Order: sequence, then structure tokens, then C-alpha cells
Amino acid sequence: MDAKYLALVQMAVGGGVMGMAYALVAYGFQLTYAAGKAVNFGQGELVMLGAFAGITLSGIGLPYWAVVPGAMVVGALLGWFIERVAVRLALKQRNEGWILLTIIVGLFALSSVENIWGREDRPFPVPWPAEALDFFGISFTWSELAIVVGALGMMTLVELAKRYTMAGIAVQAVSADPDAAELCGIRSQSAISLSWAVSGAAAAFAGTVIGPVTTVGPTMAAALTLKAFSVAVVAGLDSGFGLVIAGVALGAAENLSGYALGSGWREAPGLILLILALALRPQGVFGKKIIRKV
Amino acid sequence: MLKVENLRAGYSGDDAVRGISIEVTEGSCIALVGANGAGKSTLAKTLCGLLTPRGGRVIFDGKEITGLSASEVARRGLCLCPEGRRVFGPLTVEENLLLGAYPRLPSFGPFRRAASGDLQRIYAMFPRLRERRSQQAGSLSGGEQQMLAIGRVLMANPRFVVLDEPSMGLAPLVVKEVFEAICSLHASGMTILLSEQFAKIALVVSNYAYIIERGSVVLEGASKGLAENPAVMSAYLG
Amino acid sequence: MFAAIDLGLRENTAERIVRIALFIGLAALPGLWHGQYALGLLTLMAVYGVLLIGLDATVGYLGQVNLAQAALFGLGAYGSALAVQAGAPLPLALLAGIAAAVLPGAALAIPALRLEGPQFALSTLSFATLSVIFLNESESLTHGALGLSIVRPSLFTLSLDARSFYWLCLVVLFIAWWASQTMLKSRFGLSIEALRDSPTATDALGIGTLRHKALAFAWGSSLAGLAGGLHAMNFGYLQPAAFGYDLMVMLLLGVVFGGRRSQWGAFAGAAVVAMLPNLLSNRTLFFGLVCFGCMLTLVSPIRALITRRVPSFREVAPAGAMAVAFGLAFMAANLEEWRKGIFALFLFAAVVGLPDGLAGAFAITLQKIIRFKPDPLPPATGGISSMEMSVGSALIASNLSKSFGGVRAVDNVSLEIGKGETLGLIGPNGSGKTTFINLISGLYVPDGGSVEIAGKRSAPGSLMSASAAGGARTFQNLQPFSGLSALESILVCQGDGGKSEAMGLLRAVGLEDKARLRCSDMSYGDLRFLEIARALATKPRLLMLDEPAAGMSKPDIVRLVTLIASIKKAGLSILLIEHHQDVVAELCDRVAVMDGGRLIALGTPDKVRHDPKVIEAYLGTEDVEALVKCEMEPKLC
Repeated sequence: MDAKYLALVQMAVGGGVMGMAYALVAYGFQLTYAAGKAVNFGQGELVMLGAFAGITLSGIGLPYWAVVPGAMVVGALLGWFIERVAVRLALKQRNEGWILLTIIVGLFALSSVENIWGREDRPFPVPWPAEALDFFGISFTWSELAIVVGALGMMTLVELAKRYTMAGIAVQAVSADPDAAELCGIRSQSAISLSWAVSGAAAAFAGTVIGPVTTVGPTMAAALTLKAFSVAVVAGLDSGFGLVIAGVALGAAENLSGYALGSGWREAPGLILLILALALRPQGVFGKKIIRKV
Repeated sequence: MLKVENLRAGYSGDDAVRGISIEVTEGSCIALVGANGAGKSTLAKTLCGLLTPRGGRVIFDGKEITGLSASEVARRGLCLCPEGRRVFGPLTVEENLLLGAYPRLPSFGPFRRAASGDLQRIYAMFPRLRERRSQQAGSLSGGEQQMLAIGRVLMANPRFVVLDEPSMGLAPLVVKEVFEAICSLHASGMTILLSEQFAKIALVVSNYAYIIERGSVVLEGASKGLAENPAVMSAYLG
Repeated sequence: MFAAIDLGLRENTAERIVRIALFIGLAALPGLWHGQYALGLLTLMAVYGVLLIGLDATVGYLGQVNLAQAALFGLGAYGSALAVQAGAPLPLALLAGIAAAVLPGAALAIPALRLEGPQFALSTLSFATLSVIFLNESESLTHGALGLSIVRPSLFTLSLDARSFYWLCLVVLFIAWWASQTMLKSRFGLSIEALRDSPTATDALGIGTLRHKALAFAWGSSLAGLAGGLHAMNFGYLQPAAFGYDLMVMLLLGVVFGGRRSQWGAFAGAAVVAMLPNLLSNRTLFFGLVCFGCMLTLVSPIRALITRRVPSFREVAPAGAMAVAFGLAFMAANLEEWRKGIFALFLFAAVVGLPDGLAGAFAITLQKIIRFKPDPLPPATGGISSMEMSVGSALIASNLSKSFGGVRAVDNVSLEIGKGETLGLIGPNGSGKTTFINLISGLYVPDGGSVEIAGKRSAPGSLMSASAAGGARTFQNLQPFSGLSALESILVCQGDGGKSEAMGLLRAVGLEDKARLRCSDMSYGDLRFLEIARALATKPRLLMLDEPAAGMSKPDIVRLVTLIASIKKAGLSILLIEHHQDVVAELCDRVAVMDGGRLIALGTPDKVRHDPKVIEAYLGTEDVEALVKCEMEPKLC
């Protein structure tokens, strides 16, 4: 009885850790949505590219503490690039072409990864030991700990930057009212570009912390996009840390339903809940209601 | 200081501003008066770069600024306090004010210190804003939001302020407060362009006024003279 | 440049001729071009054609990114395959495929169709993932990842070889094409396009959003199921993984590449998706295609450079993408490995450079070369008519209130409009007039109070309910159905009544000669008149006009006043928000004045004009003026 209970908790914790990773990727959606009302449907590909960039950087002999920022720089550049080529024009024309264009850019990224790094999954090298830690009977690997600390740390850091630097406040102003922000001398376009760069950096960072747990391969992208996007939309695209709750819940639900229904079904209950949550609260569980204007 | 030559502008339809020319000298307070829908706000937005003009020129300080983006125009010292206040609702009052000074403040450095002098100046002018400094701007009353919007513009240390409908939707007592602020600004030497539907007040606080009807200037002159002109009234009530 | 050729044909007729020729050509192809492999490709193209025509119903006509089509295709395929295994004859197996797609599709549609944009895309993506999980895991039914094998059933007594099965697929494609085209050109289809352009307006005019969305989605799903059935019989072997995200992206991009809102576009997209792997295996062919693409995309940047203009992103980006493809063609060892990447590059160039897709670009070019005879228009009959009303008041609004944040936009306003009365609503900017109309017409849920239109109490916050009661409105910020013509815009709003009556309404607002013009090409003033005609087409009991003269030129305003006067003469009750005082004075029986969210005066235009409170609201309070004067004047002088 007790052992079974412990096993369930263990499973929920393991799932919750992955959920933190989803929340971190979802946070990237939130950043770009706030600034320009668009998200990157190829965010999973960015996570994957970040992870591969990390593998390559450590392959040329860089130490881990340099690999992570290196990957983040790559991610920031890619995020900026995607905004420039796939989003800006479509948003200016007020159509939803950005959904397609971000999918297209993601597709190209996927194809490039398959051809440059190959289709096989690879391990992501880390400096810490592989053995598990034990917290009151629940085991935890160092890499899982890195996901939790990394996700919370990254999100806290960006949130602090949004609140306590002028650039961050300006980005918030642009998201509240781009015209009024322009009148204050803020270049709205730069603020949007900055958001995409930070979002890309967050995605690449997510790649470097997820990689050690899941291994890195071209198949990780599509699943991550779906899950992170689910977390972002269920929590609400303006929900802030509501993401973490939604992410942990989704991750834990996945693991528990995998146990209850068989591993093939692990994603099903989460997806059904997702569709229901959307139907009941389109603005998200923690989101603010939208007022239609005419 | 500001010269507008034959400006034409509008949204999707016909021109809402049909060839307006105005001139503002340094230190004056000029009023744009006219019924709502006359094109005052369109003119104000076009001056400040929010709308791209369809024709004509805007010259500020001897340099042409026609077609520049609003942020560029603002950085040159021509600042608009927009119609409907447009404060950043989710941000605090103090953050709103700081944003007014954005181009001068360090993007990643200790910005509060850099702006503290200006903040104190605005708080001295609008003590109510000091009381509410950490409140969300969206929760302020209409009058407080208008004070905030004016304060935000002043944080930029502008050389020229365009005030678009500062009295819109405000109760009479609040209108009085807003106009007192505008008058003391003018008294301190600020150049002001005031677009206002309440003709009588606008004509009291300004030195010179343009009466606008259906996108054109129909009458202009010293405010005192216009206030006694019956034709001004007819521009309003048809 | 050169005169267009006049064939003396109607565009529809010409299209039909070319389409039939295409099908005859396709049917004859197997005779000319032998080989099992080619036949397989052609069959695949026909199957994808059916599938993409279905996908276009949501992606093109509804304007929503639907990521469930591949999964519905899979469900249809499995449904058919299982029916075949159970011994069902071919037509029944295809029906089973349709059912297997439509039923789960409907289950998805109920929650998903209330969503828009990214939320809709996500819910369909979740559904797709769920379906693949279901197919993978229901091993007793589908054999999971091992796959399901079936033998192609015979059509009645006729056993089908590859060639006759291809012909069967062509017949199905032809029927699906024809049916989609017919349906989407009918009023139903027009309604779908209207709600894509402005769901607010379709609800406010009583066309209804949800019902049409659901039907469009169901139609798309049933074609997916049908295509799935054909696919199962074509291959005889199914695996769940084949219907995943990869296929979905290919399909979606195929529709966009071919051209949205066009069966021709869907077919072109299907051809590209089916032929693509083949194209890449032949290096010479691919090389030729890339060179052609490069030349095509270089035209517009070069044209920009010749006119000494810096080419815009839109002009340069497609050429950039093609240049990368060109590089790949040289460098890549195995082009097929780069299949997705190359497809992405072509698509990128197409989406940025040809927003209307191949079919759209082709149609535009064709219309420059050939002049078609326009469709005949029916003669205009009828005009503005009023509806019978049993009660004495067109509108009773009681104690309406609405706040946004800390601002009370409408504060306890009660207003009644009598039968046949024209009431003007005026007030300074920001006084709450538009919010008031939004409350009455059901766009906003009031914080308090109730609305009764023509004796019927409408549900708070329901545009449809207000419209059903007999309210019809225009919008201050225009809400045109950009994809429709003027005549079509009227047709979708009519509950019944034919084209002649619609022409009658256009005549009444002076747009008779612009009936064929698309709304996106109409002038601003004309669109304002069209909005009024649209509202009249719903046969309202209360017409709400929100600043109809805003942005209009002087002669147009004169026309507008005449029009409103004639609407009034027909006996309709009107609520008119207007800035132009002369318009209000001329038309209104009574005038209500709002200020700061409150109703401050109500009476005849003459009485209101001299009401001191109104003068105050417009010109500023005398007290305030006095206060300001005595305090400020010394400083000013």
C-alpha cells in the first residue's frame, strides 16, 4: 500500500518535472504573444536547435558553463530571425499568415537538423553525475533538478528583467498599447524583436536542460511544440506564472495516465482536458477576458 | 517652431484633414477648436507621426519631420498626449511616468535614480499621482488618468506638447483641474497645441486659435476675438 | 500593355469547360503513360485532391488553421478498412469511412468552433494527436503499429484493377469538386465567407456564426473520410504513424501553395504534394524547377531596382528562399533527404510572394489576358419595406449600465423609441454612445438593466438574439464582408427573398451599378451605404446607425440624409448616432444627449439645442469657464 502510493508520487513528480520543461517552452510563447500577438508554431524546433547547438559546442571542447550561454545566443539569433522573416510582414497585413510561416520555418529547421546532425537521438553531455538523489523515498536525478531550477530560474530572471529594467517596462508598454508606447519614444518594432530574441533564448535554454533527460533528436520538436502550446493556451497567453501550475499538472497527468491506461495512452487525458479547458475558457484558466471592440 | 503646410491625412475613407496649414511660435498656446468629427484628432495624430500624411509637410524646428515614425518625432521633443488618455493600464502610475522619459533612461541600468528629479517635479505638480504611484494605472479614475497622461508627456521634457481632447469624458470639476495644469504649463514657457471640443475654455487658455470644420480651417485669429464671434458658436450647434 | 482578348464567354462557363477538359485529360493519361508507378501517383493525386478540397473548406473559406484533417483522413481510412474486413461492399465501406471521420469530427467541432486563431489551431492539433494515439493503441481493432492489411473490394460485380480504381477516384474527385463548388457558391457558402471576414457582423445581422462553422467543418471532415476510404483501398495497408503531424503539415501547406478558397488551388496543391518526392529524385527536373523559381522570384526585386527603389522585404524574401534552394540543389548529396526543407523553401517563397497561391496568381494573370462576359444581373424590384410590429415601442432600454475598469461608460440609461420614430443620440466624444448601441445590439453584456426590441426581450450579450428580435445595426468602424461582392453581401443577410429584391435594396442605397464589385475594392463611402443596405436586408424593426456619416464627403452626406429620410418614410424605427448636427436636426423626431455615460437631455431637436445642460456638455460648463478665467487670466496676460 505504502510502496504503491510512493510509486504514484514518484511518477507524478517525474511528470511534474517534465511539466516544468513544458512551462519553460510555453513561457517563450507568452513573451512573443504579449509583444506582438503572435506565437512561433516552430518553437519546438527552436528547442531542438538549441539542444543541438549545445551538443556541437561541447563537441568542440567548450565547458558546460559556456555551452549553455552559447546555445542561448544561437537561440536568440534564431528567434530574432523568425520574427523578421516569418511574422513581421503577416502581422503588418493583419492576417494569420504567421501561423503558416512559422510552421514553414520550423519545417526547414527540422529538415536541416535531420541532414546536418542525423536522425538518431543523441545524449546531451552534462558535467554532473548520473546517479539519483533521494528525497524521503522519492528519487531525483541531477538533470531533473536542473530542469526545475533552470525553468524557475529562467522565468524568474526574465520576469524580474521585465519589471526592473526600463527595457522590460517598455516591452510591457508596447504590449499594452503600441501606439501610446511609440508616443513615449519607444520603438515598438525593437521591443517586439527583443521579445522574440528572449523567447528564442529561453527555448534554446530549455533545449539544454531537457536534452540531458530525454536525449536529443529531430522527433522531440513536434511533441514539445504541442505540449508547450497546450500549457500556454490552457493557462492563458497572459497568465504569467499560471504556466507553471498548468505545466506541472499536465506533466503529472501524463505520467499517471500512462501508468493507469498504458504508456501509449499517456497523452490522451491531458489532450481531452485541454480541449475541454479551451471550450470552457478560451482565454485560458488564468487568463484575462478579452473585450470585443467594434 | 512648428509649421504645418497644406497637410492632408485620413484613415480608410476620405481625407479627414483636407489641406490644413498652421503655424506655432515658440512659447505660445494655440488652440484647435471644432465639433467632434471635425478632424482635430486626425491632425494631432498626423503631426506626431501616428498617421502617415497623404500630402503636405510638417516642419519642426526648421527640420522636416513629415512621415517620421511617432517614436522619432517624440525623440525630437514633439510629444502628443493622446485622445482618450491611453495610459498603460496594467502598469503602475510610476512606471507610466518613467516610460515618458524612456529615451533618456538607461535601458538596463538604474533608471529610477536617473529619473528621480523629474518624477519629483511631476509629483509636485500632481500630488494625487504621488499618492497612487504604485497603483495600476487602469484602476485610476478618468481625471487621474488624464493627469497621468499629461505627467507622462512632461516626463519627456518636451519642447512642444500637443494635447488632444484633454477634457474628454471628464466631470466639470476635473476639467477645471486639468485646465489649471495646462495654464501653469503655458505660464512656465511651454509651447502648447491644444485640440479641444469645449470651445469656450479652449479660447480662454490659448492666445491664438484655429476653428476647424470638416477637415479645413474655417476661421483663425486671436482667441479673445474669436470668443466673442458668433460664427464660432455656429460651428458647433449647426 | 495589350488589349485583353474577349472570348465572349462567361467566366463560369469557361471554368467549366477547362475543368471538364482537365478530367478527360486525366482519365486518358493511363492510356498514354504506362507504368504501375505513374498510375499509383495519379491515384494518390486524386485522393489528395478530395482531401484538400475538404481541408480548403476550413482553411480557405472559414479562414481557420485546421490541423485535424490528416487525422480525420486516417480515421476515415481505418473506418473503411474495417468495414471492408467485415465484408462490406465498396460503397458501404466508403460511407463507413465518412462516418468514421464525421462523428469524431463533430465531437471536436462542438468545443472547437467557439475558438479562433491559435486556440482553434491548438484544439484541432490536440484532436489529431489523440486520434493517432487511439489508432495506435486500440490494437484489438487496428493492430496498432503493426498495421492493417485489406484486399480492395470489388465494385458490385466489377473487380477493380489499378487502372479502373484510378478512374473511380477521378469520378469521386469530380463529384467532390462539383459539390464543393456548388455549395460554397450558394448562400450557405457566402455566409461562411462573410463570417470569416467579420464574425461580429454576421452575428449582428442574424446570419449566425456557429451553425455555418459547424457545417463547413462537417463538410470538410466528410471529404476527409471519403478520401481516407479511397486511400485505404488504394494502398491496402494502413499504419497510424502515416497520419501524423508530418502529413498534416504537408496538406496544410499544399492548400496554401495551391491557393486557398479555390478547388483548383486544392487540386494544384494535391498534385504538388503527391508528386513532390518524385520531383526530387530526378535531379535535372528539380534543377530546372529551381532555376525557373529563381527567375520568377527575381522579377519583382529587379523591377524595384530599375525604378531606383529599395525593394521591400516582400519582394526580396522569395528570391532569398529560392537562392537557398538553388544552393541546396548544388550541395546536397541526396535531395530526397532534404524533401521537407526544399518543400519549406518553395512554400516560403509562395506564401510571401503569392499570397493567393498558384491558382490565385494564375487567375489574376488570366483575367488580365482574357476578358470574360459578366454574369447577368436580375432586374431590381422592391426597395425599403418595413415590418409589421404589434407593439408600440421599437426599443425599450431600461437602466442600462456598463463599466470598463474604473470608467462608467454607460451609467443607468433608460431610453424608449416609438414605432416609426427616428431618435438621434448625440454627445461629446467618449460620452458612451457607441457603448450604448453595443449594449442594445447584444455585443456587450450589460452590468445591469434590460433591453427589449419590438416587444421581445433579447438575451443579454447575444447579438443573434437582438437580431432575431428585429434589431439591425451598422458599425462605426466598418465591418465589410471583404471577400464578397456588394450583391452577395446583401444576399447573405436576407432571410428569404431573391436576387431581384437584393438588387432593389442596392438601388435604394444607390449602389445598383456596383453590384458586382467586391467589398475590398469599394470606396469607404460606398461601404457605409452598403452597411445600411445590409441591415435593411434583414427586414429589421429597429435600425441602429452608428455614425453613418463619419468620414463621408459632403455630397455623400447629402445622399445619406435622403436615404435615411426615405427609410423613415417607409415606417422603420431608427436609432441614429451622429456627429453632424445638421443631419440630426433634419432627420430626428427626438434627440437624446449623453455626457459622461449619462442621459442628460431628451426632447425635440429644437428644445435640446437650447437646453443649457447640452450647451454646457458641448461648449464647457459656464462655472468651470468662469473659474478658469478668474484664476488663470492674470497669469496669461
